[in-house]
Amino acid sequence: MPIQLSNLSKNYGHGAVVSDVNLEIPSGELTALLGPSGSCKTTVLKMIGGIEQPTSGRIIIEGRDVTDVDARYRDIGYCFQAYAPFRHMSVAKNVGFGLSVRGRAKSDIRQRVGELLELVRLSDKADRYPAQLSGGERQRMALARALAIEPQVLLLDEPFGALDAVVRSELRSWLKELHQRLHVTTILVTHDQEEAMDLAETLVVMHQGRIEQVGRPLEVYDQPVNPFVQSFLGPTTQFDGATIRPHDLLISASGPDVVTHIDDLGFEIRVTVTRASGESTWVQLSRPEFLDTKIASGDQVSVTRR
Amino acid sequence: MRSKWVISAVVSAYLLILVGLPVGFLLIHTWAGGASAVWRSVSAPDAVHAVILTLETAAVVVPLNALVGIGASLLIARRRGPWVRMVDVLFDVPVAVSPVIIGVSLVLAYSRIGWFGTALANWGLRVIFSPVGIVLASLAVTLPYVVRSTVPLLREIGTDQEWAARTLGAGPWRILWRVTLPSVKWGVLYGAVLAFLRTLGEFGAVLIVSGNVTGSTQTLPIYIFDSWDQNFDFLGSFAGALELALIAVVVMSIMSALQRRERKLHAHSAL
Repeated sequence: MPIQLSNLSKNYGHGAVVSDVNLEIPSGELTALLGPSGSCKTTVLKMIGGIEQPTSGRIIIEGRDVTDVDARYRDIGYCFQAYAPFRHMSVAKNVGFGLSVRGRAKSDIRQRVGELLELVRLSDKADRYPAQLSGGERQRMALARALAIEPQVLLLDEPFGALDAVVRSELRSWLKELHQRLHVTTILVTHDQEEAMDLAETLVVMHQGRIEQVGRPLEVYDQPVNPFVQSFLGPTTQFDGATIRPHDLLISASGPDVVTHIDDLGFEIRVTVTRASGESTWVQLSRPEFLDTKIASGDQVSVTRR
Repeated sequence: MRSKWVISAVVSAYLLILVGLPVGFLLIHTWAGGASAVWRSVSAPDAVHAVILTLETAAVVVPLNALVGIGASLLIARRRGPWVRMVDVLFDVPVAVSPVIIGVSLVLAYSRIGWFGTALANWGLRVIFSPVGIVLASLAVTLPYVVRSTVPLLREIGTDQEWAARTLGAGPWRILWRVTLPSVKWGVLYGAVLAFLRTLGEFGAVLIVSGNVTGSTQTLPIYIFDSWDQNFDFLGSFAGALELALIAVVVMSIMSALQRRERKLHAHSAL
């Protein structure tokens, strides 16, 4: 267990923003801290990185208590949400910063920076300045800069937050691939459940400065410990008084229930039904499934569990 | 687009009345007696001494001002607390009060009638009626420039870059030299240029602390005033004024050329 957080709390004077976080983060894996904005997941990340000081509790990395260790000696690669590029330095200088701080020989630095730029596919941008890069390129540069010092832990704060949808999904699969190659223990903060489900091997769901649930993504998705986790990880609906996933329902022609309306989102179709009991529920169908049912608004149908 | 024409005309007239005509007449009157007369005025020992003293003063004031300004800017932008707010306000005092008041206050504090003057004199340090006083007065009137041009930049860049450098293993000095200062260097330079120009031109505060001893504690603006008011040497005052204006123009040109070069180099906005 390379990272252990025990009873970690952060107080800003007007009350606790992070309270009593206990967490063990497995080695070599990618762990996502998932939660809505205001769940203070970034504060936890900053405390691990040494950028915020916890009010109480301990942080242990690879058996070493780093709670009182300055950020510069923690051996951590931290990527800020806005990437924090050194604006007055070229891409190569940015990436080489950590190595030059460590007093490595110029030729060593040049070689290592070359390798890293190849890794993040920025070899042709080595002499550019951050202002001349796109958002995705800046993000990859920040990642290369953090990886340059061969950190024990990589901390990523909302790595895709500021990017448009296409670049976002591109960069996501790239990061997944990179992690599978390098196996650096990585903690990623995100508010996007899809991103977290896709990337993480372990999911940590946070809410209002507390941990709600920890587990493998599918485990958390299928066995949420409370309604908050359940609804945060995916859509929910009511069926016979129980809260379930709308893709766990089946719809078939003729029956006691009435289709109230249909939302066509492309691949996904949401069919809202008023049941004989008066309960309103909705069913999530894929396009082929929907086309098979041949239902329309106002039709009599029956809804059952799959 | 008639309104555009009106605005252009008003602005042009305004600049002509305030800048164009006065500078034009300064040039005309200075050169009226020919180049040799101007040369004689400019090369007069008292005039040369005034130029040298002014530049020497600036050479001490500007670096000191920049150094203190950088420190104070970091304090104001990066720390919190009532005493930080107090420092912030105190840095503005010199622009809020007349330079004459600054001069008088310095005399009260450091001349023989003041608290420290006698003690300082016993140490062999004469402050008032000496170049030391001129430097003090210039430092006082230029106090806010570097701070006011640097603090907004420090606030704008925030602390993320500094923290990033720290997680990469950099210590406080390296962060200052390689991350913070390069990010705000144009602010510091701009403030330093303003401080330099103000030091060249400062009259009120310097007049009072210097005692206006010709050939000894006379800076260029005081020399100009003295030539005009005491010696009726109009050409001397014109020539001095022209020198002062020339130095200012040269410094501003260098600054803007440097900035243009940097912009071309990085293609990102700086200041």
